[in-house]
Amino acid sequence: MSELDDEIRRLLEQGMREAAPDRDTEERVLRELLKHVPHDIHGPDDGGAAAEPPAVDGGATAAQTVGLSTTAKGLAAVFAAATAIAVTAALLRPSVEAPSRGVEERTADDREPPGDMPLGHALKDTPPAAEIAPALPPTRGPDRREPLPAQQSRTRSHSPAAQPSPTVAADSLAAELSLLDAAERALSSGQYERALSLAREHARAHPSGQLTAERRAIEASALCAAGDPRAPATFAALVRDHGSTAAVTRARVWCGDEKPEP
Amino acid sequence: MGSSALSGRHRAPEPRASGSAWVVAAYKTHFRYIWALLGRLGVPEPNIEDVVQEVFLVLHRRRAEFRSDSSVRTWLHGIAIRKARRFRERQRWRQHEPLAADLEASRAPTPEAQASEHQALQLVDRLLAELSSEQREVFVLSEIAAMSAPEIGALLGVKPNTVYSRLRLARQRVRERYRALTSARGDGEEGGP
Repeated sequence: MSELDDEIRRLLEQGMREAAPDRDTEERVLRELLKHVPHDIHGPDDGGAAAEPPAVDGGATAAQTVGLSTTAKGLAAVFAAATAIAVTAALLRPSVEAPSRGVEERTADDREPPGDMPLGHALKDTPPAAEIAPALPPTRGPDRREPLPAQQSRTRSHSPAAQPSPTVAADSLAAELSLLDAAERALSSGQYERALSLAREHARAHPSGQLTAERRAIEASALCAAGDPRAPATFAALVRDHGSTAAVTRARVWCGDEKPEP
Repeated sequence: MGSSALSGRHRAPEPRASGSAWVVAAYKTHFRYIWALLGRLGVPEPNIEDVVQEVFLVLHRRRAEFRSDSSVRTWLHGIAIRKARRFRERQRWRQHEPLAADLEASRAPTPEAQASEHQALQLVDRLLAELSSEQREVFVLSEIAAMSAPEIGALLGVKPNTVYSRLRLARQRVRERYRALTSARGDGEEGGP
């Protein structure tokens, strides 16, 4: 079987690059997605799946399945920590849009295995596409079995070696999320020292992390809540460096005039 | 691979341990790729947002079934294929018209669009629109998702030989149409038809 011309292959790669959505879209869809993903990051034993078994009986309504009862505060916390990019203002303006049509109509799909998934057959992780060039197909791993005949001698050159690994980035973000989520919980439950400790741990583990503003907001909030004399300076520095972000708004609840939500 | 679902040197959250964090991490890694893939599987641009959201919701809901020795990306491929198929079926049923013709018409680039910055994407979609649904799926999974024939066969529930056959025909069709289209463009640039 003859393989594709290089010219066509390059066209496919370029087409996929062009098809990738912009960051605003990525953030907007994540925001919508998190409205329907139960906020199960909280709780020491939430267990994700245990807290929300997969809908395999087909009897659950869409609302039951997606956990629409999630509190706005919980969603805002998850989202602020998860994205931490230029979408923060939206957190303060809960969307009034109805759930997307797709969400409402997907109940039947729940009964369906994810594509009759080849779970037992799956690759030993195909490296994911680079985050900055996500449309590119993964580089074939050395353990791929039985490549297509026409592909055997083919070398794909779209692995951006100089670019950061998206897997590492995602893992790192998830680790940051986990730490700051625990700190947020400690703060909310009045364990200010623990919140500070976790925030410091985040600072050590992720000195250049994506959620620095969130961490600093937690630090300021914990100091304010504890009545620590360092609080005003810490909060002022946060406002100076991250002026109009949701992180500052959240800290303002503890350090400013606003009262914490019950 | 280690126990991590997302693999890599760092340990990703386990699906069971932290569902939200896990799905967010998967989203951050794969969202843009899956978006682009769904478009190539025939989901029109205005509908991709809904469908891609469904894909990640399914990933979240079914995370308990995720096996640590498998790949999130492979899983997402399966979900995306199913969702794209279901979307096409819904569209066909609603419109009572052949979907391919609709898609072809909606994707046919206007003169203005041809001058836009997404010329490669438009050309790719024109080529893909020439394929049958079966050929298109196989072609996209092989040439864009870089899956092997056995993997594609397992995903689609067909034998590898069927995959090879569809892929061969799809490549042949794409090659022919690409030559015809680029030739026509070349002629146009030289003086127009």
